[in-house]
Amino acid sequence: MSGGILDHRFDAIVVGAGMGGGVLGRTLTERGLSVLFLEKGRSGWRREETGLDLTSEDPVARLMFGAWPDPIEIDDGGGPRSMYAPLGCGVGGSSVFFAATLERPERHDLDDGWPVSYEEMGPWYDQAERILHVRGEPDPLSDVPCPNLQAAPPSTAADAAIMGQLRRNGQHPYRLHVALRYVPGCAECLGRKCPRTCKMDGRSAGVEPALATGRAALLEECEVLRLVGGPTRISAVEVLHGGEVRRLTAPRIILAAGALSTPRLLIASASEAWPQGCGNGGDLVGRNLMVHLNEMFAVWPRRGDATGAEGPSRAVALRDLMIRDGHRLGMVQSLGVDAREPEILHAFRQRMSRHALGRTRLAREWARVPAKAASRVLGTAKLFVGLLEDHPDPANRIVVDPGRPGQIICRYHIPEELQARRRLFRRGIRQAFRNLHPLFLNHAAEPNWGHSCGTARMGRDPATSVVDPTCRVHGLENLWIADTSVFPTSMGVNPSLTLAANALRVGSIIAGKAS
Amino acid sequence: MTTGPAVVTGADGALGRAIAIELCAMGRRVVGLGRRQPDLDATAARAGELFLGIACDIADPAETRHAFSELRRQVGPAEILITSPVEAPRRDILDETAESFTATVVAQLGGVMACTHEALVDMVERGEGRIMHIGSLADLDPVPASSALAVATGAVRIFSRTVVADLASRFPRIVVNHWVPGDPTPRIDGSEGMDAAQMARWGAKLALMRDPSLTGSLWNGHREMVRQVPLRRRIVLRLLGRQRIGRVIT
Ligand SMILES: Cc1cc2nc3c(=O)[nH]c(=O)nc-3n(C[C@H](O)[C@H](O)[C@H](O)COP(=O)(O)OP(=O)(O)OC[C@H]3O[C@@H](n4cnc5c(N)ncnc54)[C@H](O)[C@@H]3O)c2cc1C
Repeated sequence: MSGGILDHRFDAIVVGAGMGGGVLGRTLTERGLSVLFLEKGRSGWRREETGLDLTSEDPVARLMFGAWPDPIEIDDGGGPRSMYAPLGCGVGGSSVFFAATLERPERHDLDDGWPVSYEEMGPWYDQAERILHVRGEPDPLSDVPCPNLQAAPPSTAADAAIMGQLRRNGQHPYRLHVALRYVPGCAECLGRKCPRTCKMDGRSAGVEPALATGRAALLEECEVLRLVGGPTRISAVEVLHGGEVRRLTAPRIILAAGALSTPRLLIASASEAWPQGCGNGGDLVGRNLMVHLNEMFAVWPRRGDATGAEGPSRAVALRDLMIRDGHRLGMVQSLGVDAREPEILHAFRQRMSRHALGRTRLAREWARVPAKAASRVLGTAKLFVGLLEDHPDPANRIVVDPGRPGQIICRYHIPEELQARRRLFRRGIRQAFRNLHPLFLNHAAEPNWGHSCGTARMGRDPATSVVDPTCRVHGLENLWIADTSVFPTSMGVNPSLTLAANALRVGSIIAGKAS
Repeated sequence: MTTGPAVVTGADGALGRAIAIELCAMGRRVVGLGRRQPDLDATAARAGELFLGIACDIADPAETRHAFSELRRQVGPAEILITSPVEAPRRDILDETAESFTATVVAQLGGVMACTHEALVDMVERGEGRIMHIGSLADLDPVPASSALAVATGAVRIFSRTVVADLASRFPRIVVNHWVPGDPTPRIDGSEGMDAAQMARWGAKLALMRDPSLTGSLWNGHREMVRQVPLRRRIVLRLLGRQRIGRVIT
């Protein structure tokens, strides 16, 4: 079969079959173009329910389970350290594991920092909400209509109680926007692969409908190594497939390998024509890496309110803290899981570890007892997260080690400015959730690497951006970027709805030029 | 779950037959695989209409593939697979040849692998299913003249664990475990019929249980064997009311 694919001529090659690549490929095929997806990982089995593996260190097993095979390297100024990031590698990319929260940004998120206005993006958000079957309740603080937003099933008693208390606290909670179709038997596969066409992600709403048009093909276990070409055109992509290095060509190339990999591919493509890397004349590729900082906390609805667990789990959203004292903060959302003892335990251990005695093994073991007591006395806790917006900083960046071009290497530090906004955010959360006993579960700043973005930013000026407002790489006729790399700001909301809306927009531009 | 058949290997032997009879008595459709047609017929005669015997030497992968495509066609894909140990000759290691030894291992381990793989083809498609490998603990303290069999038996238990390693995180609703029937202790009066039937009842019940937490578990007779944990950890677990007690089939 792959012999056949390799001989065929496609109108476009999409590198990376994740959320961005999947949705863009889909819209190209629906507009009549033929598309070849090149994906480093495997497509896996449709009925899998695999969760994202953050513990295994075996690259073969990790690939088999759809996780990025290698640890990423992060240097925050204190020397490099390795960790397994929440990153998918396979059809659907990270999005098959995602928690399906699809929220629009605030108007100011785009109008203040993006070269595409909220107004221009509006119809694409509408379309994205339609194809991703987004359900939820309109945000009471917003005047933007969401005509395609469908109603969500009624909330649980516990969530209703939490929302009630938040309203009494003067807040404006609403039902979180979630890309779940709630088909019969829906198990709300948040954080794991969905075995049905129920969770809408880069696979179910991207690659699969693209393949269904008959105009797309998928080459899995195909790693793109670099781009090849002259000064203004890409002539081929060099891939490793089946143990062989070969070149594939198409008149249009779209990079969607994710914000941690797309810049790496561009820089690794350095050649005589592009001495600093493809599209990197301005030395901007890889810079301005942003994540969100996760502020995790548990809340305890009044005892008795938490019973009757029937109903959707990930359901509470709050935008009262998007801006505080003129500072951009972010959204607060329920995580859709009960805070189980391990999380509470972890919080207790963190507190204890600030004392020497608390760091002993025995103390760590015995911390289980107060953790258990807390859940006995206070009942079931619900987990929440605040997503704190990160601002672009050219010093935060992806770098490439020429000796290890496949290795993801990040230089990322948290500036004092961000720490100050953290304090503001946490204070705001404590206030907003008063009477719900908020208990923060992380003490240190916790970058959410699953939300990385910004490493090939979009803008009008080639001196300050990598791609133009149509997401075409400045100076190159036939190369576009369709993943979160192009985000000029990280916004105070989850990335994927904007990612999908942008992919639909860019797809229509590419297809429009083709016809 | 759908209502596909339970496939029982070794249905021409004592244990496989007893389990097939038990399952049919519980109203399940059973496909019995076995080499000896007359013995399959004997099983059919006692199991009744819900039983379908297909003659097949599971040591031969081509025959196994054919048997599974046949049962798919006739009664639908396997919903449950129960593999039972094949009977093997007792032989002094000095009398074994490399060929005879390998043949026994292949018949045992290769047969379990072939059937498991065929069953999985359908189970991963549906995302659910039940696999129970029946083995013994003969490898832990081998008796004389059992080299090939003990090796194969131990290997089947390892095989169960490898299936779990590959599948459990992806397909939590394909439930895989290992069952050791235990000793059919002969009774003083010389009858061992009741114990064998009791054993088969436990086996059949266990095979019908599909709680995902069964995956990876090892059962001996009607008891789950749980791993020992260090004392201090055990005390903490007990304080938390979380100590693991082996489950029991009643
Ligand atoms: C656990 C988790 C929960 C999340 N929850 C949410 C949520 O609720 N809401 C939300 O909006 N976002 C969420 N996210 C974030 C969201 O999943 C990502 O922002 C989104 O998937 C990014 O899409 P992408 O197309 O940029 O990259 P990805 O989806 O990661 O896709 C990139 C693809 O490119 C492939 N690739 C990389 N390099 C190469 C190469 N060299 N050759 C070929 N292929 C390559 C990768 O294997 C991968 O499949 C979550 C993420 C995680 C991990």
